[in-house]
Amino acid sequence: MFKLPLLAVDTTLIVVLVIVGVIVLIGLIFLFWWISTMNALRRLNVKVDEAESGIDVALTKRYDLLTKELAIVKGVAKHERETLESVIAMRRPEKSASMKEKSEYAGELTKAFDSINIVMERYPELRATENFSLLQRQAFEVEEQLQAARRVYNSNVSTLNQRIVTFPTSLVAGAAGVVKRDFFEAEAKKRDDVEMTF
Amino acid sequence: MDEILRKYKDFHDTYARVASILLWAGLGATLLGIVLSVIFFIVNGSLENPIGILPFLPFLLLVFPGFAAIGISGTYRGKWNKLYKEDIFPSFLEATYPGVQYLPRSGLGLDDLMHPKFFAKPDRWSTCNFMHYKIDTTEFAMSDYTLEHEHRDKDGHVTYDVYAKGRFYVFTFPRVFRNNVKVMERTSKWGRQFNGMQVVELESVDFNKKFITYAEDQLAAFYILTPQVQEQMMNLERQFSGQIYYLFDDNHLYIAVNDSKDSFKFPLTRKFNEETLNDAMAEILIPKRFIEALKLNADKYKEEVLDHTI
Repeated sequence: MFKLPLLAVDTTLIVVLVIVGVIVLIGLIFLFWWISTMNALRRLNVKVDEAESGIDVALTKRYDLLTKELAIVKGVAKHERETLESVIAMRRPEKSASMKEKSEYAGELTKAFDSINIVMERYPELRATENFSLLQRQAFEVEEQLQAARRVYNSNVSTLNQRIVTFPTSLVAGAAGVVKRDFFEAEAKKRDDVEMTF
Repeated sequence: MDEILRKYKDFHDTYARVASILLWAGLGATLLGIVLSVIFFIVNGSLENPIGILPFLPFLLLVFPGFAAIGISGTYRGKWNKLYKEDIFPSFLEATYPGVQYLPRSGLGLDDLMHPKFFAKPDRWSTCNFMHYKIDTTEFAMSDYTLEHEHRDKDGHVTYDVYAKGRFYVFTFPRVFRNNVKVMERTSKWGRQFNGMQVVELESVDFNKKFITYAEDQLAAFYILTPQVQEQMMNLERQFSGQIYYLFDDNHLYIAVNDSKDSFKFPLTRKFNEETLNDAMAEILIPKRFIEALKLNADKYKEEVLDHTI
């Protein structure tokens, strides 16, 4: 006779505890998902930053090589000196510059190398210079590295951007301040080179 | 090619004809001898006489000669295999790779086979058809390989199962890469050891579907596996029926083709004509094809001209 009311109280308590427990569990799962998604997005963002620094390194190397090549070419090609100096006077973007600016800068560097090649055709004795041919091989290598860095960057940006625009990750991205990143556009000539024909 | 065809076609066709006649005659005589022996045995057995010599006569007159004919047919096959391996194949090789080192009974060492960790360590292994050559700045060494696992039943009987068989190639170029890049087909059973490598997704959805890429550095993977190289790897994969594995490590590229096939064989039963000889030639050209398709003689694989970055 005494056990009935106690049983009723216990059942209610258990139901309440179960509901609270379920809510807490859902909350914990949500919190865990939120934190892990936020961490994943931040990791992706860091990977994009790292890839961007790879582009910066390649662009810097390219600029350094350009100045070295110009120093050699200027000594021989006195008539084209002004043209070549205007090439090197180009504005180097800051590390914090936008990808668009960096893409444009990469394009200008390519034009500068093209100008040097034109000069070289007029002065074939330059080709025979051992130092110059080494610089040319280095320029080719830096170009290859720049293309690889560009593809790494764009691949990481693509992954990040896809995550950001997908619901519900987009909610976390908004709260964490992770935003879509710009691609590093290839110059038209380079785009042709990497065209896939599977 | 025409000269080889002219010189050896008569040999091949004669050997093939004789071997075929002897094989079928031998099989027929053996079968007939066995049937007659059984019949004579039953007939003699039903009489009240002892069995006597009659049931054994077909054995003496048909089965033994039949076996002998089958054996002689086998020697013709052996003669042809020897002729192909020692005369015809080396002249093909010499024409393709002048001065090539070819050792039919030798092969790459176990250390080479195990270095890229494509396969588990074998309990028994063998290699043959070793070849070594240099094209421009890239050297290659290759051989056939067979890897086996040991199985021991509860009575202690030991048997061996072949778990990997095909061709193994080691290409060596002047450039030393700082980071390793491994590419293997997703269907591969072996070679999943990571060694600090991360999975890298390249741009091509088709490539990523077919292959899984591991690299110590993402940039190294993208640097080596340009879109053109990815495309060539897809083309090469279509050439082989089994799996193909790649590892770029230091100044080497290791490639294993696991398709359960022996290379450089030309069975006597195969027709000897321009088409089949071209197929045999295509097999010899595979290492060259790898060098061209993966551009291993390009500037990228020559001496490093910048800091040791990739």
